[in-house]
Amino acid sequence: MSAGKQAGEVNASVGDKASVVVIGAGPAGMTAAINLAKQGVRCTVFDENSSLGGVIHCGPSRDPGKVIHLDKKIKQNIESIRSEYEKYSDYITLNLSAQVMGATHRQLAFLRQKQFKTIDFDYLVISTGCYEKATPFPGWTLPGVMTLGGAQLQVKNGLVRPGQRAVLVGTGPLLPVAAVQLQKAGVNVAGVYESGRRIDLAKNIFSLFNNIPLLKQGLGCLNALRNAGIPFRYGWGLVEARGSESLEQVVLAPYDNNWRPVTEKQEVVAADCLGVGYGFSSRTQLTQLLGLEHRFERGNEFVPVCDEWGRTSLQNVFVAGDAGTVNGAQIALEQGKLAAIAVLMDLGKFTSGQARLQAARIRKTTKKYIRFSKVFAEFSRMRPGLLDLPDKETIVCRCENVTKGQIDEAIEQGVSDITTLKMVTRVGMGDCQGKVCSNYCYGRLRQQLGKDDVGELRPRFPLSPLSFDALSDKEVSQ
Amino acid sequence: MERINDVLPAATENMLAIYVDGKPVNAVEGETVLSTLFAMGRQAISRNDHGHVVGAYCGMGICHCCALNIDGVEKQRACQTVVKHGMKVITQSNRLDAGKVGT
Repeated sequence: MSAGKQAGEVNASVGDKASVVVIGAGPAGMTAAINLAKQGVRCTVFDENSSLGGVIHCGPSRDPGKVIHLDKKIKQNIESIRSEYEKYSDYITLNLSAQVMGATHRQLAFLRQKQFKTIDFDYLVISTGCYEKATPFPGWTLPGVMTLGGAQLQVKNGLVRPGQRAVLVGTGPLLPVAAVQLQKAGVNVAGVYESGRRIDLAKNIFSLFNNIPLLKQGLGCLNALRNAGIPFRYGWGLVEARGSESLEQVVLAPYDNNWRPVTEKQEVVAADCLGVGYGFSSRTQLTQLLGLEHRFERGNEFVPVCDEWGRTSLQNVFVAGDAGTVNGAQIALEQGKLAAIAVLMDLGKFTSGQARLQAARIRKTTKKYIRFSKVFAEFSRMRPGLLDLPDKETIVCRCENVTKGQIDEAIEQGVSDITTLKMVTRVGMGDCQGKVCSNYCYGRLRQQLGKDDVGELRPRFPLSPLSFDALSDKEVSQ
Repeated sequence: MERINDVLPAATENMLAIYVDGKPVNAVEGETVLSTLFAMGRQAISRNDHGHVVGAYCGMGICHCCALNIDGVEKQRACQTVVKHGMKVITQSNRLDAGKVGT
């Protein structure tokens, strides 16, 4: 790396003044950092994870060479992000296992090695990615029930099986990909249940040709599942999960057009692992905390308003990747480039003509990919039946133990926005700050009240629980 | 306690010992505490503030459902904590458990 160089001079160490700060070492953040580095601009990257690449490309925690359950393309992506970083590591200060706690317009607060610290920035690129929308249903709090990505991450990154026999339910392209990885990792995949209807995909078949790599990957996975004898059923979904101390059985049924289970046709499948994935929400806690302008995006929630470069309502703050709109890693990567180009333009490294020329090429690529992802946005759009899936006693807010019955009762009593719902029931007040329950709460409020505007759940500092120990170092070190 | 859920057998030189509920366990360098627990076939790992025994849900740091007592500190997320030699992990531990709250 920087053996012969004066490390202190080249790399702004944590706490020193760094002009550009990037949050998230996934496809968007790392691409932004690398493209800045290519022009000699240093930056400091923060990521909560212990390895770089983001949740999608963090790769195995051990030697990836021998990994049999990840396909060549995924391994290439993991490798390329790591090697590009190595090439430019003199310009990129990478802070892994660092949790961002909050930010002002010029300063970022984070927790690293149990110490609370701040760093000043002139430019901030936010690439916090997304997380899976939690879907409450009876039995979803049983050990063994996980998000689809959570189950996948154990075989992909942890190289351990999250269970012996798995059922996977949800919608969208992650379903077949995760199923194949789990199966190759030695998990007995009892069945894969896609709630969307095959016909809704078939009628948009030509739009899918806009992204040949992903189309090929998807078809390859479906084929691999067929060859392994694993059923992939369209138009099916969850009824409930059963078990005494942990998951034992999954009850599934065909879904109607509104995703309501046709329970007369339900089937019971034995499993100790259930992965549920009904799409993603942008991780916007930081952009909301910063007070940036947001807009309501159907199927996602509140997303920061950005211009064509990813510049937000604050001149020096950019958003790149799924943190803005969930479009997947390929587009995130391109948006990382755009944000870097805009910062480089601001810094006078590029003329606006140079920047526009590069951007035009990038946007041509993203435009095609977005056509593909729009097909799945509609195909996988959450239908109202899912909101009726939990019963009265089902816990919706896991942190504060709030049931669906309590939420419905509050709405019946006149609560008509999420902030009041929070005050009345305590939803969203726990350790996760509503990242798990808000998807359901927003959806239920909209469904019951028949309106889109149900307010906005406001994240607060610190964005993640912070212990007094972390602050005990007398002064807040810079 | 044995590792039963490894996708690939881990090389012995990469193993380190951690203690889960007082018992020594082989963990693999670089993995998270959550992966060690899954490797052992343990799913019901946490006791939340309401006394419910739960397992990891998101597995990526979002939900705080896999909070454990790690090296004496409560509510550490197993999925975000990388194993260290000699680490002491207590599952199903919660400060709000009866007997622990000094009221």
